[in-house]
Amino acid sequence: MNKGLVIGAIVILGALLYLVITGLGGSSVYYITVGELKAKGPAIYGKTVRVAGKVVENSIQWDPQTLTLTFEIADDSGKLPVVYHGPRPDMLKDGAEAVVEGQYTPEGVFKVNPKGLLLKCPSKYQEKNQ
Amino acid sequence: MATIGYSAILLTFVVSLWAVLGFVIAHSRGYKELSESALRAVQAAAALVTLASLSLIYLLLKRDFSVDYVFRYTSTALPPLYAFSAFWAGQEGSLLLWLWLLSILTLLASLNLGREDEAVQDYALAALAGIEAFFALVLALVSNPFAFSLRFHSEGLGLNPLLENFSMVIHPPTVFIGYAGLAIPFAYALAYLLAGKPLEDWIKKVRPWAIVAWAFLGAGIIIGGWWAYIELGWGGYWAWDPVENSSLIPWLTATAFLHSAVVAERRHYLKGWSFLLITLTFLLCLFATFVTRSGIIKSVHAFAQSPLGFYFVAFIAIWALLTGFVAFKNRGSFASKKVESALLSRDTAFYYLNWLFFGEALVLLLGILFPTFSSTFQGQEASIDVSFYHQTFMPLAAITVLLLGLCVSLGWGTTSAKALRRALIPVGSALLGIVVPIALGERSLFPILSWGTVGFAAAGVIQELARGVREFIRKRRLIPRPYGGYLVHAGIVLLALGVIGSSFYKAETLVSLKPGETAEIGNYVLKYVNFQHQSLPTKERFLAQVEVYKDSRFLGQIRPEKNFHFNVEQWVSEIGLRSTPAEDLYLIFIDLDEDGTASFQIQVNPMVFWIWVGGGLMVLGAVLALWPEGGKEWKS
Repeated sequence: MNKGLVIGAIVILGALLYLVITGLGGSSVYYITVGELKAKGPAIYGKTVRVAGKVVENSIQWDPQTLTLTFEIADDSGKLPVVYHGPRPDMLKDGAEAVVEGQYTPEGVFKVNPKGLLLKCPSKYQEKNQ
Repeated sequence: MATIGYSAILLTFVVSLWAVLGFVIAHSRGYKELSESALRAVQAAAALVTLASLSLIYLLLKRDFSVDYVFRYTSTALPPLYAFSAFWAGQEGSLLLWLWLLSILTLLASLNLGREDEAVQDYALAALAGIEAFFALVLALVSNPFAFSLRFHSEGLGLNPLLENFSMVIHPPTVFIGYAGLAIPFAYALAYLLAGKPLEDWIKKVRPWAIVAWAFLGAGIIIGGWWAYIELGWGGYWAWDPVENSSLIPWLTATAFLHSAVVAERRHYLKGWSFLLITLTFLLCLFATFVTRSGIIKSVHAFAQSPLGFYFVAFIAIWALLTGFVAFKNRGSFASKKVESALLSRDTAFYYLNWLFFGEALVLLLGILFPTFSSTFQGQEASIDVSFYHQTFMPLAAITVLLLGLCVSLGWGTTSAKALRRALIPVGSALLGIVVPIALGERSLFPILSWGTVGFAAAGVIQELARGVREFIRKRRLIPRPYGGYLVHAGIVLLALGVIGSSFYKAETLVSLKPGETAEIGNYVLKYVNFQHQSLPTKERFLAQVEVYKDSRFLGQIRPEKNFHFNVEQWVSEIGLRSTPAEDLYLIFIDLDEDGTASFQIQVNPMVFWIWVGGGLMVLGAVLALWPEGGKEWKS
């Protein structure tokens, strides 16, 4: 195989490697628990993180006029109030498993990014099966 | 019936294993008569898996809730078509479908229509029977679709409403035909090496198989995107979700294989690449099945955790080692003919194409595995957002599309100055693609570069087609095969147009309207007339009637729905859509207040239409590419 070709391939791979490394640095978001989030205090304000938890019973409030959704999620380490602006997802209901991506604010509320709300169906199937 | 199904799976494992042993012993020890018996075992396996599959279909249609799988995915109210499609709604049935398709394809291969050499044929069938044995084992031990329910149920849980859509009836089988089909060229690759036959013949043999499987996989991915667009109601067709990405990865390596195979067949090198690419493709198909059906990966539509992972990882590792060993023992078969090729030639383009597809696949794979890596090595789980793929995958994809526009100007081995002058047209078209958007007011870098790229590629594709037509007029003979490739390329360009339009020029607004009120988006005016309510046995159905006007002309009514499904106790939206080649008006019914006030998310998605047209064109191109002969006469 031609030497020029191999050099070209190395250049391409190098460029790709650069993109991958900077890409991973720029777009990886860490999962942390509610407890960890609260313990970090001001250091975490404004930083994008992901928190997973269950939607707390009777905590969902939806204002259709301003399209603002507030609810709480809870994991083993505590409860976290969450605010989200956007369409109310169909799968949001008490007990649903939620993953929120956004920032913790000094007011103690977690502000979810646009499209940063991911939901899984509550494990109704599993419960019935057991 | 469940017992019959389960027994058939157990027997499939036994006869498949026998087929593997029979074929291998027949050729390593010279007991030729054993190969006859092994061939019957392959046929028996196909019959047994078919029996098992028919049993499952029977149980599903009969809604026999004593079987857990039937209980979990169907209900009495479910229409028969969806009860049938519940076959592949869950992990167990999906794996059975994989095995079923593979056993039928293996049976087809065993008919030996190509009059294949006996050793090649037997080794290939042995490899395929080995894969069948694995799936039968998994179905028997960890993922049994025929397991009984632990309790009595008079009613089933029913299918997830999101899966009640025709595209979800056909998407999984289409993808699985692709996966199972790609096992065939892989099996023959091993067989040709083991039998010591030239790999050029292998490529001639497997080309049709690979093209058909590639087309099915591609069509399946497009149908999946269509389903996401129509059913998931977020206005997009691709979310870079691990499950989606995992099906795209083997498609990319298969695409690389098809290109590499052209070089191996005609120019007698890149044989090692072709072999490596088809091996990777097969292993990645297994990986994709595992990702979709195991749930190790955090994904919106992955299934629950299961011990499946261990089996798949072990199986992938075994095949990787076995293939590596066979390839090493027979490394002489990869020897290339010395070819002189200039740096500026089609050879170079194909060589880089391999690396590009390989890089794209690698980037997607990394994205899928990153959360697993980070929790293993950093102790903290991280995930990647979409911007990672935009930064890494998209530049590679753009260069790939650029190469597509160049290939008509490059010749094999060397490029004449005359041929190279042809490239002036794509260059001009690229400049046009850059200048026109700027003149129209576009100021962002990425859209401008994207238009330039597509301009370049589009001109190249038109040149290809034009040359095809000229050749036809000159020779007065139609050779369909090359047109297949041209059409696929044209499909890619249209798809790229759709992606650019819908990614960069999407408009979106959220509104809350009382009956009779209107909202505006772009040139559209939408009037919310009122809502209708229907009580159905399975759901409460709410339909919003929305009138669409453009430039004060009435265009029609669209009716998005918001339904409460009793089986999942959940609201599910059905979008309202008005699709035209220029743009889609996409309406999501978000919420309905007691006083009739409705909130909607309204989107205008430009050029999405062309994604589906491009996908269709690619499938059509694959059909033409299957045309026998003709390839030899095509010289540039």
